[in-house]
Amino acid sequence: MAAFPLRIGRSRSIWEDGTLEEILRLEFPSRDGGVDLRPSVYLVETHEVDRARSEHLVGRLGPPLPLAGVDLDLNGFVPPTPSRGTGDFEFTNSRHAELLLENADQLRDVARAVQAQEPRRLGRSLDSVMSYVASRLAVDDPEWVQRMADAPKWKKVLSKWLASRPQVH
Amino acid sequence: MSETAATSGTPKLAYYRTALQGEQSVDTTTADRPRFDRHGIDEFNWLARHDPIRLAHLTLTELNTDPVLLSQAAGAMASSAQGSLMTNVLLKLTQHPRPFVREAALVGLIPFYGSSVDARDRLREMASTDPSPGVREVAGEALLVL
Repeated sequence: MAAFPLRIGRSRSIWEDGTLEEILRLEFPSRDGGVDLRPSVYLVETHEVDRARSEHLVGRLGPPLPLAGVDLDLNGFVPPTPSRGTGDFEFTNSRHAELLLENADQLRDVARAVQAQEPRRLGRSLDSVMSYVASRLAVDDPEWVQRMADAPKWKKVLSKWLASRPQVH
Repeated sequence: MSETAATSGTPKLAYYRTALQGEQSVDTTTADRPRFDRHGIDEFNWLARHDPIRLAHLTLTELNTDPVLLSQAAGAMASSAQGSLMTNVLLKLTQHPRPFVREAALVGLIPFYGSSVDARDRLREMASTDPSPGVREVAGEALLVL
């Protein structure tokens, strides 16, 4: 199974009525108000998507960003250039890469393809992220145990999510 | 969003708009304010932490015609310590006609739901009646973990 570049998305509803230029600016922003011509991705296989999105979102960000966003399959554009990440997890650090684009038109082509091709938009849910986190804590994964020890807000979110699940008898 | 729609609103918001009118020069007198050549995430994050009144003012005025900038500003507001002010501005943004602005506003409100009955009521309303499927989904997930 071939790895593909997974982009962690920012908005869920932008795909409902966003124009191409709005998608470009909201999903691929540079921090200074422009667009990012070196968008970060993770090189993952299909079965590793939940791992990568969970490590990215819970490892770096406070709640509740996993609630939003649709993640993107950016396969078939510029070949990703590996660029080691600096997060809390070895897997996502080792799989981090960038699409080195030459100009905004290239990025526009990427956004246009994702806008037109729904299979490139990978649904993300709170369940998918919290289920993965709970599964790692259940086996005492040391990276996840450490992360949750450092992140009381996430522990609270996980507790509430677990409490909201139907009880299995 | 029209200027009228953006600047009308609740009495609380009217109060803050009035308050903002006397605070417009706050950022320009701050010696260590970084230079931002254009509006963007770095500027909004800085303002949320150091000059939330300026961020609120920008959101209600200059950014009003740019839904993407409104969304980015809404995301930055989550990191502000000025919860009451940010809550009122974000509640206004939950009425925006574009779904991705409403989504960003409900996400930006997450740190403030605990201290605002109005925000929690609005979240429940969005989870059940927002016309956007994506906004309803995000609001429903937020209700699970608040």
